[in-house]
Amino acid sequence: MSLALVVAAKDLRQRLRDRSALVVSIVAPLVLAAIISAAIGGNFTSFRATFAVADDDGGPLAKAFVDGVLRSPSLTKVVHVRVVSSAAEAKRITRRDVDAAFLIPAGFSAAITSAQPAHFQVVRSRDRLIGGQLATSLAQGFAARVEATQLAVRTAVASGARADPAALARAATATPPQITLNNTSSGGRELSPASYFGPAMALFFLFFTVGLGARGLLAERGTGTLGRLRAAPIRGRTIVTGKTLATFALGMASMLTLIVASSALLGARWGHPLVVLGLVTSAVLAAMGIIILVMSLARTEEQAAGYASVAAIALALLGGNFVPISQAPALLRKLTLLTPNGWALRAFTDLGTGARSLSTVATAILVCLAFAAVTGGIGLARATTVLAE
Amino acid sequence: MAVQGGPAPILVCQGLAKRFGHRVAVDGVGFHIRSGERYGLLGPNGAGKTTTISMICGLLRADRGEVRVAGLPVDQQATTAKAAIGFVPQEIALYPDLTGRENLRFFARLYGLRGSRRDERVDACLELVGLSDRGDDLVDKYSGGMQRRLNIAAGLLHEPRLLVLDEPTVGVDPQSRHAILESVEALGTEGIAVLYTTHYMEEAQRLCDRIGILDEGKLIAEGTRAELVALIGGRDRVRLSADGELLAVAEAVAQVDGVEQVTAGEDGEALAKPSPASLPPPPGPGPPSPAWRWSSPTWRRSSSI
Repeated sequence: MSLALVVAAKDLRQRLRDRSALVVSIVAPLVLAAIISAAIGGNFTSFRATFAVADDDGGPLAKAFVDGVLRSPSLTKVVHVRVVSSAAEAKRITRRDVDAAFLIPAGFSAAITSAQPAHFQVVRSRDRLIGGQLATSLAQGFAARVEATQLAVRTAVASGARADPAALARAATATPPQITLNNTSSGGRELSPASYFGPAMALFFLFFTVGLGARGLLAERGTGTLGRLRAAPIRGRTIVTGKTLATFALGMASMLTLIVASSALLGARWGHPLVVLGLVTSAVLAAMGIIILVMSLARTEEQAAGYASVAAIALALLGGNFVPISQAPALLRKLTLLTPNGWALRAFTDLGTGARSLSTVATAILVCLAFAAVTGGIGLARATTVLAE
Repeated sequence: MAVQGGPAPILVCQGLAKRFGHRVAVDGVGFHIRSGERYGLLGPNGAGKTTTISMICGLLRADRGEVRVAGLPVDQQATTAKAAIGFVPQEIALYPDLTGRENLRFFARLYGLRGSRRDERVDACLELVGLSDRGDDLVDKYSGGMQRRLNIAAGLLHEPRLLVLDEPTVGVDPQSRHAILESVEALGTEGIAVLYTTHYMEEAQRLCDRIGILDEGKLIAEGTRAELVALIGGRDRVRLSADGELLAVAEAVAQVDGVEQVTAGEDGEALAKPSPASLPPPPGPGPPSPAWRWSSPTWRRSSSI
């Protein structure tokens, strides 16, 4: 073990002198996390949309739609209403400022209350697809309620009820929907972009960081020092152990530095330190296992770097390091479970929202350790064989 | 191989053989080296020198045969036997992003040297190869010759009983080559057994007490320099440097016992062909006549013919 530590210390000294290691391990993930968080801004788990309304009708049903639907309490955190003076202005600002515009023509309320066909128009922004879809859904929902009301009124009149049909219609459409949206996250605290992209970028660059360490054996071969090591009175597995220790230390140092830096600089929330430490340790081991396995397939340091990059990017894409898992398609959400970084990111997300339950974190730790054991076991066996060749 | 007479050999190789696919790299090579002896393994590129050395140092597993260092068998896991060997590989096997001193401290630690003993040996080896004042510079900043010298120092740190040098002068400038050869010459006096591979006859003749000639994986001849010359025949061509009247030099050298023919060149050097059996002692230092003086009062072997 003592000689393994000597090898590890030498490797770490070399890595610390290499400025590219500092960039890959700490600067790049921190900068990228900051940029992405700033680009998303605010709180990316709560969606916001702005709708323009041009009300040329001014009638009770138009008012019911604007006040009862668009400005309903359930949508106040999601929808901002901007009333404009004309349909032309509404269309104009939809091109750049708002998600969609509702154009309510004159006579809209009168048409409905007299059981005549009525129309109002939704103009959607080409750039803001989700906001446009929400506007369409709200309009369709309101139209369905109007139709239902008209049907109810016609039924009431046909059955001989002594009520004013117009009053009945107004009363029915003004009734708020029975289902309301309570927009909150599972842990009770909303996840900030920094709390997602901090871990996401840290995990993505972790593969490159451990790659720098894991390439050590091939680098020794390239510089000719591998022969000198093998001629020394030191066993091959001691050399491999030393290099593995250095790689682990590098990965842990990178992750822990990023945790501190992203908390201090970006306001990222990581969760309880001990739980985070356990998760980080298992994630580093899993990344090491995969990278060592991938690199054991390479014959040169350049090949190894290429293979490791491909593996890191593929795992990041599958694991949700670039796109939040919650916003990914269902298939991609399932595919994240094939990657250790996907599991770790889910657990970090839970911790970031202040989730009390540790089951997700414990599962993620176990899965990462299993990845590490399988891939690392094969990779280290191959590396030791390479040493003996 | 039975080794008769003299002190027990440090290195004994017996029937070493190694094949790479269908190509036979080494075929039944056997020799021994005693303490304080310098043994040259001479042969052209591809003769099997590096493969032989790799098996001796435990880098390659021999298909057949045995290597013993200090009485212990050498294989890839033989840490005790490996501790008796100092290995200087053909390529520069150093970490360019560490200083010379850091490189030596690391390798010393691998050989079990610790604390003040390690620092003493690092300092001594840096001094031996003339790099004491550059020890704290990154190896990356060293010239090629300086890197070669540090490469040798790394093999000497633990005071090995056997030093194996694999063509240490390949690709170095004449000045560094001279410094390397002088360092190796000094080692023999310290009782270290030296195995030196080269494809330069001149180096083998200058440095080695005994020479083995390797060709196509086989040891085709072995013996002292004189024994090999007697075996193969031929003569040495010797170049002497002198200042002054060269014809007078030529006449003086021609009087030396064993010299057959002397030619005075335009470059201030005399070329002599001594007899094959043994070289005569060099002319004594100092000007033997007012007309000329030796600028290098030693025989410098130019080639064998």
